[in-house]
Amino acid sequence: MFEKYRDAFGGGVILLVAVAMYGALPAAGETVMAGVDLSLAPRLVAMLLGGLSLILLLKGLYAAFTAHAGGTGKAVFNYPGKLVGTIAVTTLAAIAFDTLGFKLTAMLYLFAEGYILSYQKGEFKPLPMAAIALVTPFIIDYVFGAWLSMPLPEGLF
Amino acid sequence: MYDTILAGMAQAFSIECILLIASGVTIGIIFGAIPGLTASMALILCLPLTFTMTPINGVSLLCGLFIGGISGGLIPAILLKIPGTPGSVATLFDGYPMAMKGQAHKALGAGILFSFLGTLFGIAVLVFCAPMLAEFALRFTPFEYFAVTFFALTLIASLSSGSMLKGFISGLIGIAFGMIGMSPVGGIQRFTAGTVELQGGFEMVPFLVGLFAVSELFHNCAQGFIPLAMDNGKVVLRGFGISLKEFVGNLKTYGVSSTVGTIIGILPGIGVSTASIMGYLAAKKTSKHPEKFGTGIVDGIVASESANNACIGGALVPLLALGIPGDTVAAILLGALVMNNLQPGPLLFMTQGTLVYGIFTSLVIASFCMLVIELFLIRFFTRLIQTPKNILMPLVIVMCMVGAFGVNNRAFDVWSVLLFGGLGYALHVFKFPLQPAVLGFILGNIVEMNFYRALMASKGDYLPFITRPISAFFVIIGVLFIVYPLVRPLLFKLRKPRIQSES
Repeated sequence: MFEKYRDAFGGGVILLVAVAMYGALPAAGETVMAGVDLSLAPRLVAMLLGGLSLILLLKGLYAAFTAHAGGTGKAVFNYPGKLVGTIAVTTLAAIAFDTLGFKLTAMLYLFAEGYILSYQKGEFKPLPMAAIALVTPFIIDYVFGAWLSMPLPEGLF
Repeated sequence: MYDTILAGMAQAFSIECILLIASGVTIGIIFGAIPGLTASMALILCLPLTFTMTPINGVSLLCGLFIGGISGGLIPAILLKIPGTPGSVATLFDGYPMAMKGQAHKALGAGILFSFLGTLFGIAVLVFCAPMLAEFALRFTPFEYFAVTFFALTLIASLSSGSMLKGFISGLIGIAFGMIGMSPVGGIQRFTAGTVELQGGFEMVPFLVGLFAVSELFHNCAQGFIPLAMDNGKVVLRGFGISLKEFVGNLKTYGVSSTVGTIIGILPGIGVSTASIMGYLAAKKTSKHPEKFGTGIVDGIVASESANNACIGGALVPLLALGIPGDTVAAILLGALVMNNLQPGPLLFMTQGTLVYGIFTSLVIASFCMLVIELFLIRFFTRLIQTPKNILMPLVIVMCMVGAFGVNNRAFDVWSVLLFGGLGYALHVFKFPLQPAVLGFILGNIVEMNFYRALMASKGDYLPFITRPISAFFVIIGVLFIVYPLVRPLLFKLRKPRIQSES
């Protein structure tokens, strides 16, 4: 199903983005400076993006309805659980980076992501992973803070 | 004349100076190899150290950092699919597929060797042609800059493996993301939704790191990690990893890409990341087997690494000959020279000849240092990808986040990494090539800025774009690059019945 409508779906999403992009621009003539409309380039990009994505959408629909969209037989998501888990953990880490601080966030992220990546094969070794998760953030924080004069967020700790 | 050259060489060959260069190269390689840390950061951090040094020692240290920083980016690009520096972005197009095939040593060896040769090419141009080329670069007005960068942008067609339509869309997505924030001329806010963080736009480092590293993590999670061919531990490490035949076979690629890289370096404001991609594309265009580019061949690595390192010598041409810094690193070098009461420009060659030739010699020494140090470390680099993926990938992502944070010391860049990781993964799932998006993001702003500047200079008149010879040449070639792939199937269809009737 996804294979069949891949191009049509992709084209449709980008078309919507292009329309939103065009709509977010100031009207023609509103941003003129020294006789030059400074919204010309983004307007052109939005129009080209819209036009090309419309072509992709139509091509994708045509191919889907005439059954030209041959699937490769290769599944797109072999491990959906791992993907969802990774996206969730990485998103949480990015959000918590500033508030929780680098060290705590990195510790939790390394342990959680290490677990997500290896739980299926039974390869997960909690102790070594915990050791890496505990030590590495301190080393990185020290290198960046003391040697590179680039302090990382302290957060709670 | 010869006395001046010899005096300069003697200064650079002092033990103190050589040690400083070697230290600079080592630190530069470390900065280049850590995603998010760049050569310019290394120079900024070490600049205060040069205040107490003699001019030649100080500048030599900075030259070492510059060369090491640019070259070090190839390591994560090949091993982890993360461009260590923006200049090594094209290296991963072929480097990572080679590493996946178990040819990491060969890829690294070729990258290091041609980084070295590319640097020497740029230095040779700097030594022999600096004043002449600097004068030529001064003739470039916004019309010419627009035309050259527009031409580079049209090469998206060459980067689009598979569907040309998807390649163009991917390129436009890159341009669109590059447009978020203040407009390059006039300071008009675009697509910021009133957000303060978006006003400055997206930085290149989070874009590249997210698009390649985070999307790769997502992709591997969804598909499962593919075991590397070298995981069996039976890899023999010897020399540079490439045969003499492969070396000789790549000399043409080296010549083409180094020339392109040097020219891009000479033109102020374009940058090493463009040089890397342009060198790659030029090599692909002139190759006998362009279809193999991107699948994991040595030629791709040779092209990218020759171009980005040749750009170093090129960037120093306008700096030393005219006192015009072409990029951030050149601006820091200019600062170091000015702090030592030296004013780069045409007079520098006459009044400070010894120092100028000392700098040239330092650059050559730094190239050799880079070759030796990286070659020594190659064994350790190749062991890196044998680390279990459940340990390596989270560590890489943490380093990516730290590197992105380091760009501006703000959490927004960390979120950007995640956003572009999602974008990269979505493009991958919908089978859009990633490379055009990179080209669009890097060049979009430069094209737009020069377009507006040119139009303002001509008071809205479009004619100079095609009446000025250099500009007209590149605009016409660029248009042909877009139009030809579109009409090629039509021409083929028209030609086919004729061939059939003749046979």
